[in-house]
Amino acid sequence: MQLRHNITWSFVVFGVLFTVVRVLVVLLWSLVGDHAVHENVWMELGLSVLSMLILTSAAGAAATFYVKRLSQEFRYDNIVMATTTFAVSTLALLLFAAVAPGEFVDGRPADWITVLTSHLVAVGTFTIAITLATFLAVVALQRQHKRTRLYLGIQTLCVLGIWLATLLLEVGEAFEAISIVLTIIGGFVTLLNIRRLSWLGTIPLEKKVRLLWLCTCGAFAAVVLAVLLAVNTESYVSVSSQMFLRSGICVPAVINLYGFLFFIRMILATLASLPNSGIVDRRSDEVQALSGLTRLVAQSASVDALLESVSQYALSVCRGHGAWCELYDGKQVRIVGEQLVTPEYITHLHNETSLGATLRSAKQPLHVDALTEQHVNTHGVVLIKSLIAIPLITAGVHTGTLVMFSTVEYGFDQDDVLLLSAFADTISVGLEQARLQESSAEKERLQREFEVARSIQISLLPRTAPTTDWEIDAVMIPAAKVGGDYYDFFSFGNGRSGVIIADVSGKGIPAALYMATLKGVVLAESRNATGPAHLLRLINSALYRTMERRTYISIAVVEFDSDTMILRIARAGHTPTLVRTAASVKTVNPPGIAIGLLPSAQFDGLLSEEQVAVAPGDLCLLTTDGVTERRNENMDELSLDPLVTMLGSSSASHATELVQQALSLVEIHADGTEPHDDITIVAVRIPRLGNVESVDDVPTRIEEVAA
Amino acid sequence: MTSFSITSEYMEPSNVSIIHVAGYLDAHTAPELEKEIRTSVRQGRHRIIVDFGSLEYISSAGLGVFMVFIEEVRANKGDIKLAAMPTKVYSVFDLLGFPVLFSIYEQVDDALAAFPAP
Repeated sequence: MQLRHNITWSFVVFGVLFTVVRVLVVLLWSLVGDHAVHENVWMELGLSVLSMLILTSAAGAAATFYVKRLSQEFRYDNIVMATTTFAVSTLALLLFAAVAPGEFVDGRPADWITVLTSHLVAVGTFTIAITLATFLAVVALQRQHKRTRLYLGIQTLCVLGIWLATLLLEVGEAFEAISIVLTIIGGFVTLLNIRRLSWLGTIPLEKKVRLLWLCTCGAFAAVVLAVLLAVNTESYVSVSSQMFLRSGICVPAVINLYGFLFFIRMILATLASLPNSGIVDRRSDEVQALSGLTRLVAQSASVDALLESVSQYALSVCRGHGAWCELYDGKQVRIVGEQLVTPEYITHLHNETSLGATLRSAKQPLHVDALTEQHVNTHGVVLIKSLIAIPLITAGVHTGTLVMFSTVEYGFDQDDVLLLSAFADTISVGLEQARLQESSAEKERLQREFEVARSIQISLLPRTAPTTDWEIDAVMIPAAKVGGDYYDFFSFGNGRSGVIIADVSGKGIPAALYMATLKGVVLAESRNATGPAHLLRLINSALYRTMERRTYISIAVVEFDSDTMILRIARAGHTPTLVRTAASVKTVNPPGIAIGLLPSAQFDGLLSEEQVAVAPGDLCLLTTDGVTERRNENMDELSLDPLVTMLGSSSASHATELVQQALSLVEIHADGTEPHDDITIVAVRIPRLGNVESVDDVPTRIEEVAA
Repeated sequence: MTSFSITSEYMEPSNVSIIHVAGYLDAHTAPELEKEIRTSVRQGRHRIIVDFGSLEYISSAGLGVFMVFIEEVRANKGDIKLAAMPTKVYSVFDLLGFPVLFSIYEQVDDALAAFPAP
């Protein structure tokens, strides 16, 4: 942009430089040398070359200036600017020529003031004409159709032809007729080239009135200049121009005539659109209202319904011949809301032509005036010749494309792109809405899965503690994302009481299902097992084959022999078991690897039992890692040590009390933070001999988290 | 809240992939590690060292990942060796009996040296 700006200015500087040189040459030749301006052929040629250089500079400056505008949207504002500049500069020129008429004697300027003013007037006349011509060309190119460039070429040739014919007037009268014919052809082509003024209908009444007034001024200025140049050859403007470029007077005259035609056409179009102004304004309101409405629809209706209605409405507004929306899901392309075109045809476009890839990779709105590739439909008829494709961006991802096509070339202009972009925004909002809804549906699904997993887990845990030769109680608090904690009370084949605590790695339904399987195995194998280690070996051999490689189960099993007052403890990768005897708190951690990691041959050899002699009143505490790894706000884990300390000083007179004490220890540490894993605590108290309390009335509690 | 990062390098001369893990390795982040190991195995690089030097926490789901590949890499004359475990991380492995299944080394270099020359 800066570069173009610089180019424009260099053209202006060169134009001024050439003008100064020409003025000096004329001054020296005409005033000092006292020659008539055009009496020497070489001098005339030299001056003509300078004039041409000046005109080229003016054309260059005008072209680069308008090319800058061309890259922007070229309509109301720019037309107003250009017309105002044209009208004001033309009237200023005419005023200047009227106020400061120079004197010519024998075809040469009488004084140096005349040399200056005649140059100013001539350069001004030509510059205005050239700028006007550039402006007209840019307006035509902005709303170009198939033949715009051809017509512009014809116009340029007409102007050059008219100039040549005027130059050759001295040779024969026939050239006058030729110049008239060329003028008429040029005018006709000008009218042909000014098309697509329908956008005038979309601007508000107030702006139309201003445009009308300005175009009238422009038309007036153009016609005055054209008539003055063409008819009054004695006028100062005419004489100056004539001296500047031999027979050159016809060039600004013709251009101004074409400019006049343009302004008249603009006036007529604006006048014709005046009666609908009210409707247009209302229509614009409607579009806005619809946009808001669509957003509302997006909240309740499905995405497909939204896309359907948007493509339908877009089609009716943009004068297209068909439209569709496509959504991308991985490599899949889903066609939605297709209008006046079959999904098969669109699929065909995607599979057989490069158009599909182009649409998928478009990051910016795509506007194609004339497709080079032939896109025929199933009946062999060429359908798409021009199209607009707007990418749908949801949360920064290109999720789809809104496509509108026409069966003719140059079917759309920039306004349609803007309008469709607005529609695409609406769709994007809808898609985003749907995505959010979907993710909340996903959340609900996960929530339901969690409910199922939790109910499986809870249904597998014993409801009440059995009446056995030890006091026992337990609690399990499932975390928000259900883990796979499990505990159970049972009797070995030899009649001794047993307790098992387990933690399946992983979470959710898979963990709950492994837990259910484990319960089945425990029920079946506990009768066959001769002790804790044996039971673990049986469990591993039953489960190892069927378990997924990444899953394993840590288990601790405790058996109480009330005859010998011995606890036998085995551990398969589980958190240590704590036993408090009169002497101390023992952390019982016999060797053993988690279930499901190794086949029996290796697993069995790694496993061994530990025995702890106990007395009445001794306590035993089993937990899962949800307890020892319970974190607080600072991410500190509880660890085993506080449990050891607590157990050492516990005065629990019943298993239930010990569970309660352990639980409150965990809760104090956690200080209200959300648990990440299930928490399971199993407590055992060795009763006095022959004094086993009935614990039928002490139900185990399964506390549920108020999620 | 819980961050996890993973980087890997390939030692050309000894044909060993070293995977460095850092942060929290749990049920959420384990798939990333699994993907990394799988990538190495797919490329036929069966000699893998996992560097735990910067790992702060490992959960049960994190441990399961190593089990997924161990049979396959050993069948291909490779191994997964674990190195530079912080005490806390090691205790989790130890509790579950993993030291029986995996070779665990104090330093990555020790693990590297433990691979026989290719």
